[in-house]
Amino acid sequence: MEIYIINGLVLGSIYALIALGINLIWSITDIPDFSQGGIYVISAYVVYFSITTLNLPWYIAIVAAALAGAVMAFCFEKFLYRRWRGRTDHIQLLCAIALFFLLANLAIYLWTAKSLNLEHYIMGKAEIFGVGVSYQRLMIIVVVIVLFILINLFLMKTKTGKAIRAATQDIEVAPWMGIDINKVFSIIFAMGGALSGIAAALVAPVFAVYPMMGELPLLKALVVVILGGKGSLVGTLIAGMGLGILESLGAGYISASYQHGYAFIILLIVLVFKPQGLFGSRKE
Amino acid sequence: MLEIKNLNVGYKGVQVIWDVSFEVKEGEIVAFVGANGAGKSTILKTISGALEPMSGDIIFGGESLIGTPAHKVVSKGMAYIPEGRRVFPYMSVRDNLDLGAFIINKKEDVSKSLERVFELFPRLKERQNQMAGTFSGGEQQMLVIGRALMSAPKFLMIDEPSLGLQPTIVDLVYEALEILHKQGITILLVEQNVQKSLEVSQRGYVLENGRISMEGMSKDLLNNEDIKSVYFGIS
Ligand SMILES: Nc1ncnc2c1ncn2[C@@H]1O[C@H](COP(=O)(O)OP(=O)(O)O)[C@@H](O)[C@H]1O
Ligand SMILES: [Mg+2]
Repeated sequence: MEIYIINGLVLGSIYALIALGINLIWSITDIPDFSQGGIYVISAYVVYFSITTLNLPWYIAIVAAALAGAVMAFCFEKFLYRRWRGRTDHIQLLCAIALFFLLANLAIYLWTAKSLNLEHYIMGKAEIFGVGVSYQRLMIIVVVIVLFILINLFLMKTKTGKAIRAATQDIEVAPWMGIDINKVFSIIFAMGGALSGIAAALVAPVFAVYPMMGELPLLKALVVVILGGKGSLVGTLIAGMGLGILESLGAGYISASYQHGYAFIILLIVLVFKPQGLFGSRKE
Repeated sequence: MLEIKNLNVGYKGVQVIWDVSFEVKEGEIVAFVGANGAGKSTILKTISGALEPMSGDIIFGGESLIGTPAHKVVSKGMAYIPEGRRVFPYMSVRDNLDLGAFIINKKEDVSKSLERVFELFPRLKERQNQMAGTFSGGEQQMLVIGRALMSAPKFLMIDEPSLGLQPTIVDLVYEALEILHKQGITILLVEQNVQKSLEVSQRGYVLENGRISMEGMSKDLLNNEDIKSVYFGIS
């Protein structure tokens, strides 16, 4: 039982981290940014080559992945999505989906479909409730929780964070305060990309690095955003962790063959009974 | 202070403002009145930089604002309060006010503005930590006026401040505008409430279907037979 819960927390942390960036972006742009799934894949390769080819220490590799993710998302917004801002025909969503597949295919083109493995950044195990848990997995949970706290502090306490929340709550009025919406979008996308990059860097040694690695985490993260409620950081964290644990328990006690179905069953149930998500639609 | 020259504005090619010219001199309160849909809000939105005019010029403090994006207009000394009491609903009153001072970098200047706002609306001080979305309509109107004052503007544009408010609150809002005027702020006021806005202003313009149909001293407009019959239903 405990082992499933801990594995679920690891999985859930990753869903939550990708979902956090997607949620921030979705709240202000109304785009579920599928390209984050592709950014996640490319960032995982950035980590892999930073460590294996460039011999960089793992913490520098994580920073490199965050930067790569931030730059990709920043550019996608600045040079692509921005052109179609305000259009209601879902062209931005189509562009995001296209980018997701393009990036995954770029990975196949550049590095083949073969799956690559990295050593754990930190070796060893801790004993928790009588279960041995690798430091690598513990690190994932801790880093994700710390990132949630930091981003929450940034949004609640800093001037830039408040400007981002203001723009999210009323994008038409924010400019009259002197807030540059283009800058807000750039910051939010860069943040989202960095979070996807960090998520990829954290899982690279636990799961393998391969071109299709982004699909499931992306879909689960989208489910987590909807379950947690758009605009809710706490909701995203709880929904992410909750989904991870449910999947892990379901795989352990019911059947592993349906592991990836649980998320969507829960999604449908929640959407039918509480369409605004479990944690309402409060924008934080 | 503000000079509008031959302004034409439209939405996606559908023109709604036709060849509008007017001016607001320093120290004045000028009122724009007209029926719903006449184009009053469109004019203010255009001046604020949120809408690009099809043609014409907007000169503020001697320089043209054409091409200036909305987020750069406030640092020129102009604050705009759109209609509908658009507070940031999921943020505290204090955060809303701080956002009004977004362009102000000096902490002392922010606290000075804050004091001035709290003096004008003591209620905002009492409720600093309350979520703005839970405020009543009147309180939200005070908050958006307070928020606009936080940038220490010399020119204030306000759209329909009395719409949907109880008469006592309307009086309170108008008293506040008069106080601000006495403190030296020039005001451009847009209203369907013809009586109130012509009482408080020195000069007025009547807008009909996107065109200025009448202009003059507010007290003359108040006594004008056409205005009486159209807007007060007296013939
Ligand atoms: N966003 C918009 N898109 C298209 N037409 C608009 C928009 N906003 C206002 N209009 C039209 O422009 C005209 C003027 O509207 P508005 O400026 O809001 O008038 P007022 O403030 O005097 O009530 C109306 O015919 C209205 O339907
Ligand atoms: Mg209007």
